[in-house]
Amino acid sequence: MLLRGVSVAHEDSWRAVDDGEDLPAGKVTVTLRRFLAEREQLAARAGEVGVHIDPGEDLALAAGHAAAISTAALVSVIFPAFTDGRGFSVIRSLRRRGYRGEIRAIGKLLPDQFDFLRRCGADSVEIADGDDVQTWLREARALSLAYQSGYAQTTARNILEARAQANRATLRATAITTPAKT
Amino acid sequence: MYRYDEFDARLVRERVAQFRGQVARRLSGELSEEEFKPLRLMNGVYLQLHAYMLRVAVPYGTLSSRQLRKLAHIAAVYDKNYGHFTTRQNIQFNWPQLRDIPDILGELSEVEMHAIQTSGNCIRNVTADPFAGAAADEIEDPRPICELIRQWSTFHPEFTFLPRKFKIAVTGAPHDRAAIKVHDIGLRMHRNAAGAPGFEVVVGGGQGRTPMIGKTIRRWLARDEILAYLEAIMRVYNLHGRRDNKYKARVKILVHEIGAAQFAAQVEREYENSAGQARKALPDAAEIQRIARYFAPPIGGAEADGEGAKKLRAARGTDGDFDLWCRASLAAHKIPGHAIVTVSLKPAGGIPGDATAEQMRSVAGLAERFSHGEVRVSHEQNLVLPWVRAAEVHELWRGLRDSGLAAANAGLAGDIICCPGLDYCTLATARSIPVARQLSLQLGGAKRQRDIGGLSINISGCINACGHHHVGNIGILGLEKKGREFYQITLGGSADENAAIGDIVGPGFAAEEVGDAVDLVVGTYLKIRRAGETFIDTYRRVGTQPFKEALYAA
Repeated sequence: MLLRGVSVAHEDSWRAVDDGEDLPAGKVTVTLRRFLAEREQLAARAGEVGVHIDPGEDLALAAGHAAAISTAALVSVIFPAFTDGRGFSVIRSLRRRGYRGEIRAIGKLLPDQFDFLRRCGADSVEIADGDDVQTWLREARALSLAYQSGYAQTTARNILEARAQANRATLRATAITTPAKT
Repeated sequence: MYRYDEFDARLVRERVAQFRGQVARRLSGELSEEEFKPLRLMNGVYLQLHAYMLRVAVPYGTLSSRQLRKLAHIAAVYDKNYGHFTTRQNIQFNWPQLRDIPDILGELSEVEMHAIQTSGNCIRNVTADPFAGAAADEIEDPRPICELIRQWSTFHPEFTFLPRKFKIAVTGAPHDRAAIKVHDIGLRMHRNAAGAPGFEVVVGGGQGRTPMIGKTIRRWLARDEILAYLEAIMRVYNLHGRRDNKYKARVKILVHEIGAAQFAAQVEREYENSAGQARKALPDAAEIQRIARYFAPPIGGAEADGEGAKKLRAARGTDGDFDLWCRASLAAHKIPGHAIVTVSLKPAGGIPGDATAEQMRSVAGLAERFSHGEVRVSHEQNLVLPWVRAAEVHELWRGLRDSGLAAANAGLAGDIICCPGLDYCTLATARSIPVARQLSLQLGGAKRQRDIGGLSINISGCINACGHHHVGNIGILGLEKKGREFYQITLGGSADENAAIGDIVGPGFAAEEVGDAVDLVVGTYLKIRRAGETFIDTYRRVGTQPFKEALYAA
């Protein structure tokens, strides 16, 4: 099942295609290796093309081909285990380099990681079939505040901004209650 | 001291509610222990040999009397009436019931405390010089930076599932009381050529089964660049730290394998790429100032007339026991007429770092009377009262003595650092507490320990080295072979600015032989030391040989 934002997304027509497998019509995702090796053929197709990044294999390759990756319509970042947090930095690095397409987190993930993924820059998350969607949606909102600035805005409000706003409100209130000096 | 604002407070309350839900799911069986494990570990809950253990964060080792009273209350109501202060300036409760832990966390949140990130493969509670803000040799109080790091690292979206745990220590003084060179990142404040205070950045230190002294990757970094630079280090580690073997997953292994220069280059590249963005995103000057204001010294100016110092000298002149205690327990203060007082949690025969609920309440009360309601926890597992008037030290000492807290051994041989060992810990291979208790009795009284001089003894119950045996002047490591515990002795370790890993002297000893072995080592030192030398000075001059001969002479 696919979650986009903090809701269930119903349709998803992306198809993951293995290396060597013929490319079907429509939206496909391929491995980074194939994405780089077959750029022209892929660009000549009618359908959109996405790329898988597996932090276990692709880190060096991905670092060297940031510009090429930025042309993909979708980047799927693979989490081989929920304890393997490399994907968070991969997602964050894509966004920092200015990638504007869709980023999807796939693989073994926990509901408790949902908001972190979104703050790093993921748009969508593919969750396991047996997972309780309600737990995922609830956990995404478990914490309403976050200290880190420079990360994406989600339902969690940035504390530094909240503080600055509260300070401005206090200043305004003081300005109103303090009679102006003549 | 830092005080939570509405936002800090709300985040901690929400975390308590979230964990309460997770515990309910575990108790109802909806979550298996295996599924619950990563969730509880993010909140300081371990499953030990006999029970759950809860580790509560004491950010950079700073506590208020009110917080210490709450810890006493938790010890009395939810535990067996005591708590254990750790080498990371935290406190552990060894016997809480799982069903009570959400309530304990709720009570902690009332006094601005929590157990967030006291375990798990994330950025752990940041530690600091226990004398911060008060030490005479300090350049600047490092705690505003520590608080910034605490906030920045709390529920970090990118760095909460690291290859392994990650520990940061900060010192604002040239004499390192925070052991920064044996941390994943150590920050040491010093001034650059222009006289501006900034930080030397040391990475890749650590203990465990592969002890290493950290390497400097940046000589000087401006204070307002710290968070952005830390982010660059963390990203390099998160992406490239080893995940194939948990024993090779700490950043020290990455730094060792690719070399400090290469690691530094990667960090600098990452930092350069992000610097513009990250610097803009940092908390602004107003926010940094807001935090710094909380750490202003609670005492006014120096005592001009020197009356307090005179009074203290007079009391020391007439009371020998008090004088011995003063010699061990007092440290030079930034503000004349004041003293920093270490309260040893190492009574002879006691368990290092343990304090009963009554003792915690006593210290809380004494801190209110004599130290502006502020207490510190040191990595040596002692407590510190940082703001004591010289004139009142004698009265404070009498109060401590009444509570059994006046051991005159801070910084001396009896000030043994010790992990919980096989009495509590599932990882341990040998007992450590009984060895420490026995040894502390055998080392002799305050007079003899004063004669021996500054000496650190560290005991770990397994190679994970939670008792920091690698950096003890005398390190004792408990191991197990064919069902029998034995203890390996290392010499020459040090955790300060001259940090060093101790050398193994030879085959291990049975538990009942450890006391005599330490006696032989100390006796050898006393025989060969030159005037003015401490144990570590002598060791550095002569090496292992004389000690080996004494220990293993047929």
